[in-house]
Amino acid sequence: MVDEKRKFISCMLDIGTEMVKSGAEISRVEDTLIRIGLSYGAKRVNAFALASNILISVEFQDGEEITRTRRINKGLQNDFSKLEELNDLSRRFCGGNMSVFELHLEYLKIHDKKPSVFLTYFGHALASGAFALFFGGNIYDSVVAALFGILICLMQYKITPLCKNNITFIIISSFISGLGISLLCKPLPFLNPDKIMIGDIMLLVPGVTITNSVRDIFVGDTITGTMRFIECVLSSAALAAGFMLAIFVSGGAV
Amino acid sequence: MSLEIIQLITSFLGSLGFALIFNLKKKRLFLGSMGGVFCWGAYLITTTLYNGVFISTLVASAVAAAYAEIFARIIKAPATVIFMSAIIPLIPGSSLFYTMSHIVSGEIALFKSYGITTILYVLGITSGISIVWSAWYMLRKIYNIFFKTKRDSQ
Repeated sequence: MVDEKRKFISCMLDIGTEMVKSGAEISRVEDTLIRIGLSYGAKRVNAFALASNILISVEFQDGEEITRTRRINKGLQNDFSKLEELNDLSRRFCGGNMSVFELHLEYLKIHDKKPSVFLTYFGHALASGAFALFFGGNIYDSVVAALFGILICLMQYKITPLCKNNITFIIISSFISGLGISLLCKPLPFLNPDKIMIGDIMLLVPGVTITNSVRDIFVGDTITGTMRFIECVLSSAALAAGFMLAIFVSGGAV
Repeated sequence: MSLEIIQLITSFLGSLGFALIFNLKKKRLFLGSMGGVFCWGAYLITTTLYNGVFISTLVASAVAAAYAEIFARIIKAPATVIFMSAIIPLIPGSSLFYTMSHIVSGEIALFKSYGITTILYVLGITSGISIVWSAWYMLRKIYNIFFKTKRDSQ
């Protein structure tokens, strides 16, 4: 029989894990957990979060102290609807009139929501098509870039589960899309392969994670910031390697 | 149509695409995409005044960060939500691509110059947002002190 305090802490860990995974800054996660704990009526709350782990220690009014930790294995997938809803949930909980059971139910509701697959494909196509035009391509480049954007999204769904980490995925997907673009552009001289590739690179560049990591470093979460920053540098290198290999294999520079 | 106008339109569309990828709430989509337009607009204006990647990127990313912080207060959402789609047009995809394509073709001089441009972009973005975030933090603290003393005296 799990008593309410343990249930509560496990629920806190769930919320923290979900926030880290959906792309929140570490300081926000720690802040939210401390607020939730204090509004439950704890005497003292310590929360320590990393991109890969969360540690919470709560001291309750009756003197009992519970410490729990949870490992975060799956990587970052930015889902800002989820982040906003979790933020909202914690605000409502801190506002009062919510039991631990209700908090858990609300959490499960948010956890089960999946982003729309169609909109994700559409977003990939739109972003890569728009950026092919943005960097000076013509309308045909934009259409081809959008098609390869859809291919990248498809690979994200199908290849990611097979890869050990994000870097492997980036090498494979950038190689496949780079090769596809180079081969397609050989017989069609009105296409600019460089602009198409730039449009699709924008999808794979970890630009968002890099800014997030800088933010983490700036507010004092140096460990997480550095971890994420190094991950970004490695995946940019993987991206470059994948495309370079594709250009090499298809023969000559673009 | 001049390239600038095309870029402003496509920066809206590109930011919208990324907003969809990040699964923003439907009512936030327009706000996030307009952030991209403001960010790139600031970049274009600054490039006509100063000739250099670093300063322009710095100003543009500062504009994006300020935009995100201000609207986050208004709509009561985390600033990251808006900021991430607003900063998208500044990501140096183009110079990163030319950096690596010149490694393959073996043109070392061009490789160096594009590589430095890419690094300058990243430095510019990070310094711009850092300046805004620290200033915003300080302003909030000062506001709190002012607010609290006022309330205590009453």
